[in-house]
This record gives sequence, C-alpha cells and structure tokens, in this order.
Amino acid sequence: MIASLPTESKPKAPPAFMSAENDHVVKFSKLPKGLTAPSKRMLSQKKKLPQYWARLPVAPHKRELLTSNFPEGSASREELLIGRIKALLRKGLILKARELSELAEKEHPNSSKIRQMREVLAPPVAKVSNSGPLTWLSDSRCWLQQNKQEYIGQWVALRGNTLLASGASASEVVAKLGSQEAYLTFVR
Amino acid sequence: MLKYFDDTTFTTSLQKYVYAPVLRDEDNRIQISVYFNSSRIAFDAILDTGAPYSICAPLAADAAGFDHRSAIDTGRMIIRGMSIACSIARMRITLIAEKGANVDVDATVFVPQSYEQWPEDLPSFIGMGGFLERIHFGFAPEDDHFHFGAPTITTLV
Repeated sequence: MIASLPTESKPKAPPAFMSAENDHVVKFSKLPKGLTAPSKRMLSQKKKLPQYWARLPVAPHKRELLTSNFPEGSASREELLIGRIKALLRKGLILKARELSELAEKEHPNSSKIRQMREVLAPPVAKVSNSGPLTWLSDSRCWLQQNKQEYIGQWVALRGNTLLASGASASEVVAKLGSQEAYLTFVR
Repeated sequence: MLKYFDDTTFTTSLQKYVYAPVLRDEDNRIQISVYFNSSRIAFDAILDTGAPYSICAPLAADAAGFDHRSAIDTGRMIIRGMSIACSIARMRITLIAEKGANVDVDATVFVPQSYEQWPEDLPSFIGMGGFLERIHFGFAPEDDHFHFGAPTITTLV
C-alpha cells in the first residue's frame, strides 16, 4: 500500500531570510506577484546586489574589529582606526586589515588616508592581458641548464638562447640590460 | 587551457615552472617568472600557496621603478626569521604565459626597504593573501606546468 501524502497543506512560514529580524532583506518580499520561482527571485536579488550589500548589518566578528581594544587617549577615532589597520598589517594579517579598512571607510568616507588604505588593501584584481605568450622563456631555462656550471654564483640575463649580460651583482646586470626584454636569474 | 565539466573556461594560460631549492639546505620550491609593474624584465618568484601575503624583492622593485613613497605604511615584519622594514603598497604583477595570454594582477605587496636586509639571491614571493586569492590556478606535476587564469565577473558573483 502506498502512503498518500496529506492533502491539506499548511500555510508556509516565510523563509528565515525574509523575517522581520533581518530587516536588510525585507525589501525582497515586495516582489511583484508571480515572481515566486527561485530563479526569478535570484535574478531580482542579483540586480539589487549592490544595495543589498550596502544595507547589510556589520557581522559580529567584523564589528569586533571596529570596537575592541582601542586604547584610551587623545587620538581621534580616525587615527585610532588607521593605527589599528597598520597594526594588523605589521602582523601580516592582510585580510583582517582589508576588512577593517572597508568598515573604516564607511565610518569616515571623507578621510583620504583611509581611502588610500582601502584601495591598496582591496582584493586583488586579475585581468587577462593583451600581451603574451612569451615563447622564449623555456629556451632560456634550457640554456641555463646546459651552461650553468660556467655561471654558478652569477646573475645572468637571457633572451631565448642568447646571453645578454652576466655579472656578480644583479644591479650591474640590470644596468647593462637597458630597456631590453630579458629573463634575469641567479645561477645556483 | 583547463575547463569545468560544463566546458566553461577555468584557466587560460600556462607556464612551465622550476621545481628546485632556492637557497642552500632548503627543499624544492615552485618558482615561476613574473613581471613587476609591467617592466620588461622577467624575475623569478616563489609560488607559495601557504603564504599569507606577497613580497616583492628589492631588486625587482627597483627595476620596476617602485617608489617607496607610494606605500600606505612602513613597518617591520618578521620574514623567514628576519626582522625586515617593509613598505606596503599596490603593485601590478604579471603572470607570464608561455601558452595563452599573460594575466595582470593588481596586488597588495610588501616591499623590503633595503638590500641589506633581503639576500640578493632570494626571489620574490607570491602568496595567497592579496594575490592568489582571486585567480584560478592549478599544477600539473607530471610536466611541471602551472595553469592560471583570471576569473570572470560571473564566477566571482
């Protein structure tokens, strides 16, 4: 016997993300009628993404970055934030420093120093370049393998199979190169 | 070129890497060639997926015309057990392709301020934070190929 599903359907509770507690997403519930399919809703949300992120409340762990352990003193809030970003950088904590610089810019949108920090610490941007490929790089490395005994302990600049310059110091070899395109390496 | 199962592109370019020790008494490291600030000299850089940030060797920075005054901060960092004064700045680093197209990455880098503190033969480091975190990459150890590509905007959204 196959169990039948109950025919009486209860009214569905709204998804958690549409609750009144999350007021930053309440606007999504104002979609026109008929746009209930998940894909359509996704599309609608995607268009609103920039505003959506702007309205997001600060996550607790990020809020902590803004508030905790600030020393008492006469420094302004802006200076304290800059000091904290620098302290994070000196510990090598780039991602935390980036998060804080983004939050600090929202708090101090007119601070040029904070803006500069946010720009330098922004996520890396990768773009496919119009240049390349560099077809002679493998030839240079092959040349190096075949001739390394002669140049151990020296810097060499190569372009394909051609040795452009060599010397004991890298600066000296770079100076000899001028504006020539080359592969520069130390021979070990 | 590497592809996803649905045939969309994952990486567009490749470079054959060098897998050898960098300094005496060290294990092998993956070394690739890069340009700094679009200079025409290809420098070696250690690819370190475990490194929290990238470091541009002073030699490469000078050859690329890097100006320490463009840094947002200077401070002492402990790098490989050495306390080194570094500038923190934005720099364009180009992953050189031997097949496919080069990929330009605007990255956050630490630049040691003096030659005395950074052994001249120690190359730059490409780390995860501020660089690799936003590119596609993969390794083919059977032929020492480093595959890489720039993610499209739709992938990031």
